Amino acid sequence: MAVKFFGQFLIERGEIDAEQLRDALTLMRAENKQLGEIGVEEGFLRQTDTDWLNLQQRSTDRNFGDLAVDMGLLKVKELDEIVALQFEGRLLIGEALVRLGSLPANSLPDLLDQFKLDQAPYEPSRREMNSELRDNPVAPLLLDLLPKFCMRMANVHVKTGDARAWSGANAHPFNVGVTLSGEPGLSISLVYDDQFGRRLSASSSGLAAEGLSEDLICDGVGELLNVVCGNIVAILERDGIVVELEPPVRDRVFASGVEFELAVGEGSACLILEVV
Amino acid sequence: MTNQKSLSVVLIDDSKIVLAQLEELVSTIDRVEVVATANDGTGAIRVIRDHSPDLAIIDIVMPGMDGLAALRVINANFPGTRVAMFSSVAGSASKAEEAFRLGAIQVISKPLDTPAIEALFESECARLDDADSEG
Repeated sequence: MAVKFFGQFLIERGEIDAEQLRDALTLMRAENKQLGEIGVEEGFLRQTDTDWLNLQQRSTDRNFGDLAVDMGLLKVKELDEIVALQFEGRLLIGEALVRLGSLPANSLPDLLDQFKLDQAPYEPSRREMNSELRDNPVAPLLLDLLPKFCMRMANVHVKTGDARAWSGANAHPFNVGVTLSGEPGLSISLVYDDQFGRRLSASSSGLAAEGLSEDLICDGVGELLNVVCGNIVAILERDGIVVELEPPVRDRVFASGVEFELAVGEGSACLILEVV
Repeated sequence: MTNQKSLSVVLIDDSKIVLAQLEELVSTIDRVEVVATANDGTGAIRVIRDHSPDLAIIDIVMPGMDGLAALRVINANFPGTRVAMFSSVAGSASKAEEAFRLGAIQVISKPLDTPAIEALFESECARLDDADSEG
């Protein structure tokens, strides 16, 4: 059992192959509208407002709607209307696969039920936080923000799974980490393979994936952690908790720590947290 | 029409990928020229001493001498170079305030905010033109 997306679940079960999943994701990207796009269509937002909000969103932990309301660009009622329209028109992965003929329509409800059962332990509310991290304010923020920033900065899906004591075996060849020092401090490392690191670094930087050296890939992954943790510094500061962000360091040697498995769209990765 | 002077810039960041992104952005902008790059605060001081650039864009969180420590030295010793900070901790009120207090002309959040960097170059070019016309 592992944390995963519905598409990965279907591949593992042999219901579809990777090519069919890629086609379905492409269809979803083409059909699903962003909140800003709907806001412009409905006449609630100007395109320039949407562009500005999208830009702001890249460097904050606020979602598009909250930011738009706070900035006075949308009324709460308008936001509710836009969210409802987005929800109504949303094409989900299962439906996309059915529409492309990759999955029989009558098998979808059963597969979704089985997937929900399989993934129930990974719902955030049920996540068993390791006792080492239970009182650490950085860990839950990180687990919340990392997937969001992977999506916003690099359009990469990441889902965090269960925690377990680090086994001592590096499952993936590369790692880079940052430390938030203070009281309490936390050292945060991403351990990843070439495929995941390359995709994340290329997409977040806009540089061509083929031209990225191992060094640049590591830099890109470290920079994403740097941005996530920079936001954590700012959030904690608002709550009166002072932590200092240290620069990314690669090829860390772990003495101990808590490992979170990560479900990622391409390649593989995990997160190792050490209280410092 | 008179020839407009280029804005000379140094870029300081411990991340090579960030430097590559910034250099790529600068390459698309007329009148702005990257004259040197460095990876930490000590390097920032060295390239500013060697090149006397109009503008330095400096990361805050770097190994060794960080960006704010470098800013303090630069403002005291190289008043001809204006400094903008570009950092993941720009959202921290205390860091941003300290940067402005030490003389930064702008504090820009990571990840790369292209319009903010372009606006910075535009205002610095205009300032260069004003200084030029005043002789």
